[in-house]
Amino acid sequence: MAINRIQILDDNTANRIAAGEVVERPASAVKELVENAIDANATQITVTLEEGGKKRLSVMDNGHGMSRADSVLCLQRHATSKIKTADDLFAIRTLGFRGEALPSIASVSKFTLTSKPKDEESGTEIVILGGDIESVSEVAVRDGTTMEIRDLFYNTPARLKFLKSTPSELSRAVEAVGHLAIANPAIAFRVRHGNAETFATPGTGDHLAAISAVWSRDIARKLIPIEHESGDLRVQGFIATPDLTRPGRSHELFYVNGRPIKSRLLGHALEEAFRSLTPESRYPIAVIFVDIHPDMVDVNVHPTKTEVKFTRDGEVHHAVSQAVKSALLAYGIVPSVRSTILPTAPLDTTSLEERPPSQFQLPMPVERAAAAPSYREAPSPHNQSRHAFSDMVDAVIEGFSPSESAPHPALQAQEESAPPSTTRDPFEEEALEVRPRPKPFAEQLREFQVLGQARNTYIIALTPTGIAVIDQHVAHERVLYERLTVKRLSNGIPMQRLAIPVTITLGKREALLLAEHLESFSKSGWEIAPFGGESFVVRAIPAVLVNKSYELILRDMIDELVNQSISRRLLVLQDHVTITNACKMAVKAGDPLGMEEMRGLLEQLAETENPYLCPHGRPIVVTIAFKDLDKQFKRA
Amino acid sequence: MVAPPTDTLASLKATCPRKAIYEAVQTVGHAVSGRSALPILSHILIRAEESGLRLIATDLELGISCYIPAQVQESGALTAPSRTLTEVLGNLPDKSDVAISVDKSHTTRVNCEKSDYKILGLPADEYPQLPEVRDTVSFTISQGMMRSLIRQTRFAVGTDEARPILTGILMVFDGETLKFVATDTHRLAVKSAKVTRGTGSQNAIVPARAMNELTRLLTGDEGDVEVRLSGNQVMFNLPGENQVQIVSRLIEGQFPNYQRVIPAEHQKTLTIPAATLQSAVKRASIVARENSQRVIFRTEDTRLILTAESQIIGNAYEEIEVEREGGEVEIAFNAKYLLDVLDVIDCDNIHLELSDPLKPGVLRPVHPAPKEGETPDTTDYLCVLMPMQIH
Ligand SMILES: Nc1ncnc2c1ncn2[C@@H]1O[C@H](COP(=O)(O)OP(=O)(O)OP(=O)(O)O)[C@@H](O)[C@H]1O
Ligand SMILES: [Mg+2]
Repeated sequence: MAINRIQILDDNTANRIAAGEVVERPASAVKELVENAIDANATQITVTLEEGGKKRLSVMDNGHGMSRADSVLCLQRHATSKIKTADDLFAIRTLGFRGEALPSIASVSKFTLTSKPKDEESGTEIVILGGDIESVSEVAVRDGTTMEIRDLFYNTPARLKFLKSTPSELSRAVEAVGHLAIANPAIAFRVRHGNAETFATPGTGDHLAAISAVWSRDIARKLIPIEHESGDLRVQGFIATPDLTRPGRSHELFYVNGRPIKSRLLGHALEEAFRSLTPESRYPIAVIFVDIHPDMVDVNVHPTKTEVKFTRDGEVHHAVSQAVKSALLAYGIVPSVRSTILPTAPLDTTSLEERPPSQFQLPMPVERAAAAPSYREAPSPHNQSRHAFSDMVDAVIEGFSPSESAPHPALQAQEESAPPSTTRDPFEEEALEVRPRPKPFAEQLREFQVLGQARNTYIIALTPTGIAVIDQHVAHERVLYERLTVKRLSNGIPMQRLAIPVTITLGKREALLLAEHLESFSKSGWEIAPFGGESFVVRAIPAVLVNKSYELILRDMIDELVNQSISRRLLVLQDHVTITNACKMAVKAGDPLGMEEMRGLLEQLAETENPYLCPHGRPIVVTIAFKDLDKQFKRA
Repeated sequence: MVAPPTDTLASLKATCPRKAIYEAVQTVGHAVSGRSALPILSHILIRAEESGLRLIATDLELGISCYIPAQVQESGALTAPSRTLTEVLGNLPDKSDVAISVDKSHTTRVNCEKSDYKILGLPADEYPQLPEVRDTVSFTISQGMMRSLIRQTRFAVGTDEARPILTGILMVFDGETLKFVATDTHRLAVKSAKVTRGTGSQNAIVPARAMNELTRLLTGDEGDVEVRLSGNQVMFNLPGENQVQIVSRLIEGQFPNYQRVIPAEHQKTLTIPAATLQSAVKRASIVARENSQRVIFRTEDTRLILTAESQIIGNAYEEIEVEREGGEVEIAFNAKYLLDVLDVIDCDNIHLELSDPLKPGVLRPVHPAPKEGETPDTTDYLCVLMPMQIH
């Protein structure tokens, strides 16, 4: 006999649920249906869209299905199997909890529900038109549930009018499913539009495989894992190395207990950690899962369930920020040497030998996650195969081109050296290495002994455990950048007035852009005023530029402004101006440096807050461990 | 007795003291270009002249020539790589004579006591001629005066290759007075002096390098330098038996209107002991150099207070007793620029003329009033310093 799960919430509980419009467009309808399928423990979910979901959309799952009674009941408002009383609102472990989605969708569409629990012989099909049940019949169907929506908003022309073009609705709908697919890698998602498959995830439980399917293999390849745990708060996920960014926030995904959410708090934590690594008009790529005890988070704040309130904002912010920062730290220490002879290795490998080997066979820190409590009923996205990461690596390796810049260090290590079982994952080492010491790299930098300069471009140094190669330009750029920023934050930028003001005449576009950004320039130490037409007069310059070709530098900066603005989100470029300033002032590749200068540069670098990456996100130091050299020379 | 030249350029034979030829090679050697696509420009040309040798070197921008007395056995000319020649001559016995000659294959032979060197050269007739400077404008000025003209202005010359005009010193000659002007847009130095005699008037921008060579070679106190100007060349004829000549291409283009940079009036004047100021600024700059060299000048009554601060190092504070006319002062300057001018200003007290914090400051030497019967000092010097500001 099939179980009846659904109950109607009492008025008191129902009234406490954040009210408002649940379904605004096909994307929100498809999101609600897919969430229901996930809550029903499906392992396969197929989404079919026609005309971007405007004409038809259906979600088919192989979950636990519904009894005939539940199939009828679920269409009532406040009918849900997920909570029982108002108290349950503070212990939500499912994506749904309001009993609102199906009735609101059914009332504005031609809706068909088909469902069959495993232990039933036959299933139920219900047809609803604009909220009214047309028919309830017994049908022969497979286990699971299929919900189909035709002609969304056919009976509410006012809302129909607000739907966008097919491509636009389609991309929103696909994005909504994609976000859920990334959080649920153990579920095989398949999304079709018309006859074409938009994406399909393998359902292997591997996050990277899901991300690769939803976004792209190129992105997945650039991801590095992040992790942070404090008390019963856990943050994990992936970030892309800072050389890969997006012009908008489309690839900043946050999940709280598996629920995709929008959060300024978390967005801030992420972007702040990345701030000096990427130009200000670019945004990082990140997939961040926050797991927190349900009573520490309120999900009942917005009718579309896309916002949450944390009881302790600060802690969550800190955890995300720590997770991202320490991953970046680790990335800095293991920058990718694109080298066919030498595998990369972390700087500090001294104590590796003493550790039990088993620790290094875990490809990801995920292993520890399994022991931590998970606040999801459905299979946790984190209880995945511990070899998930290396599986992905294998999958990604074919077709991997070594000429690409900065590939995933793990991929690289895998590709270039021994079989996977003997390859230590550098992140695992770093995660262990880095945590007890917040600034190991800066300390290690102080131990560097400069040996010389190669090609007037790289500083070669001896480290206690190997040989380091430092890119002199990016190293200096980092030093100058921090100097400029520190000055900006503290007591302003010293400026030098010009005895002979420089007049520059620009093209129309450049002139307009410069006029718009005069304030940013002025904050960076440039006093520039319009001089009629497309001309500007420069009256003062940043004092650090007095011995440089400041006019050329200014022109370069304006050029960059023009090129930048092609990306659609040109904000005020304060930081960008600072980065460009730093970049133009820095020693160049090709500048010969004396030993003293090189030592001085490393000392200054060690004093910076972020000696790992230049403000553009390029690595500064690459190291070769003696251990690996010994291996190459077969000195066991 | 000088043998008749068989082939004017392919032969030369002369003897002279090692010291003389070595010094001459060093004198002209600075004009040899360090790296040039033309191999011959790394050579020095040696040409026989009436009872002596003339050494010439040029990189086509700058040329230097120098004469030394010698016994010429056979006239002609030779070239030899400047570096090798300098090194060989520099290491030959001190008080010896050197015989120098060349053969048909352009190999120079340097003979001295028991040393005998054969140095591979190039055909002397391929060596570029120094340009002739037809003197439409010319004047003479004392060596010492020329030296201070250069010394008191050259520190302000620009180094920005993107603004070549400012990499030279503007020479303004009006028939009586010679004025040197240099600016890198952050400061401006102007020095003028009376010439001994001269004709015509012209403005010319002389590359800093030529000026540096000129002061390097102006070592004596006796005699005047002769300056000749033509359209795009300048020639300096130095006094002395070596008849050193420096020829340089002029920088073409319009020098900025420097007179507009010099404030026409000022509201405040500080009279400051130069040496005290110099040492105070030097100390303050230990801190200031970590913060773009910014030193703040502030007065409290007759005290001038200098402060500098740096996030990395800390703070500097200096106090100097001064005379002040006009209101209290507060302004920031680049310590390095101050030191540059204080280094060369050569006087006990200076005037610092100021208006408001964003207006330029002017430094002038305070010359002691001429005593009865003495001719008043005719030199006139000023240095404009642009202030720094904080955004
Ligand atoms: N695909 C499905 N498989 C099994 N049961 C389902 C499915 N979809 C809906 N249900 C049942 O129908 C009920 C109502 O669904 P509905 O989406 O309206 O509300 P909810 O998911 O409980 O809350 P919310 O409004 O927050 O989504 C669910 O509680 C669930 O019991
Ligand atoms: Mg639901």
